[in-house]
Amino acid sequence: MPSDEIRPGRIEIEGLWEGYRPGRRRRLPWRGRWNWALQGIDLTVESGEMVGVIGHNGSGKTTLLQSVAGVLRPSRGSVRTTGRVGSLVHLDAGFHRDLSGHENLLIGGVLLGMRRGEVRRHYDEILQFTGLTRDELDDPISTYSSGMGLRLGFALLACSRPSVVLVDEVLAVGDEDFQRQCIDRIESMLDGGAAALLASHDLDLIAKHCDRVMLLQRGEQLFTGPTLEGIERYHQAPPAR
Amino acid sequence: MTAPARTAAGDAELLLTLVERQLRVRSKRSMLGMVWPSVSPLVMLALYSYVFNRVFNVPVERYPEFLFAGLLPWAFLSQSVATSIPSLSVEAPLVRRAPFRHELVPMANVLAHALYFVVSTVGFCAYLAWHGRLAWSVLPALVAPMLAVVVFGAGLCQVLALFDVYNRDLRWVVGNVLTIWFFLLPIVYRPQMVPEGLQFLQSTDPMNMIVGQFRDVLYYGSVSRPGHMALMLIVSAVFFVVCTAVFRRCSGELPKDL
Repeated sequence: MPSDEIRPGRIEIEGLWEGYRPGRRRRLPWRGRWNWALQGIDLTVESGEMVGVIGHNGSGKTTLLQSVAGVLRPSRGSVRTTGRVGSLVHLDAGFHRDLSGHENLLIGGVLLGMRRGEVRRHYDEILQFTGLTRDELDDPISTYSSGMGLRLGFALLACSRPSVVLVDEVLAVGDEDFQRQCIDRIESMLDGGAAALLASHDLDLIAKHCDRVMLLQRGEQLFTGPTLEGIERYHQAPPAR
Repeated sequence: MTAPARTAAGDAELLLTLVERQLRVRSKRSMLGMVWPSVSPLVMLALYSYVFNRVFNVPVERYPEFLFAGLLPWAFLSQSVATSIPSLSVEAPLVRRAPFRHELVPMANVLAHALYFVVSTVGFCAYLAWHGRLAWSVLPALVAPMLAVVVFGAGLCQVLALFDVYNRDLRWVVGNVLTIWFFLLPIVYRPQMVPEGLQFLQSTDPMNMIVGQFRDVLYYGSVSRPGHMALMLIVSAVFFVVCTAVFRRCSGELPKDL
């Protein structure tokens, strides 16, 4: 039985550039010009710290979280993380609509880095955290609401005991009670030594729970520092085109 | 390094989970979901037996058994290729959202088909045993061509699935190539009937060697070419390693390109 303790987490981002080449699609894989989604990002998140990522639509928040999660390979620079990375950038990574919640837990858990036995061991805990009944968990997730999908995804994330927690806008889907439950769980992970990045447009949430913020604008790191100052800069920054 | 390092055991568990997911998904919204891949070789068997045995009168004894022994590895390969080519595009949400080795997606597809392949082969062996025509002593030699075709298929399918992301013409090209390849292989006719100019394929085309080994064991009840068996395993293993290297080299931007 693995320990429920969280290994101290750390995120170290150095000179991260992340580019897309729209022309590559339908062509040979090495062709196309670059569109930069992130330009030279530097950030270190220490154990027990939660950094908010703010910026208007298209500023690169999700791309940053995907890079830290290891989904995207940096075009330039590097991202280093310590311990297991738990990403809630997308609610339904690995979930198949035709499969039941129960069946999807296994693939979702293994994608989060859990062992199959570990997912099965945490089944009751996951069930309790989701607030779903066993019957509901046996239904195909195509019948679930967005909120139910969030409950399943977050429960899995929480039970994977991540050292690095990445949360995108998805929390907005849940009701107030579940959002509270999620934030409490993230804070307990931070107390246990995890490092977290929270990307959100909910500035009250950011102001209340983040130790620092990073402000992105069209892929550029406009500001990194105290939360309230970052939020003020956000209001001054013009939205992306 | 970006992706959290997944151990080899972790990759194996993910592969197993993806195979299980494929099999479960296949059984949803379908009455015969899990059975369909096994039905296809039987339909081909009935059709080709009628056309080549009855209509063209190909001079081969126990023609349906001769045909099925060659058809088994071919059906596995062609079904794996056909369903693996769009696999990365179909699983785009998964590739874009979770960090893992993307070659596991087409490989899971191949392994799911390998299960049907094993079941079909066992079924055919049971049929031969029932009629007293199974050479038990050489049966273990069947493991080598089975392993070779699965390894060869896993290599081929991952590269085809990757290039399909960038060029959908591939689906049409491969469909036609498979048809030509099928008729170049001595599946519906005897190897001796191959024109002299194409005889070289018997020692250069891995599928030609694999089909030959299957037929040797299941139809002739012998292992006549042990050298071919070793060569076939080596060629398949090298092909798999090269294809995996190509996939890893060219798939770095896959989540962005899907």
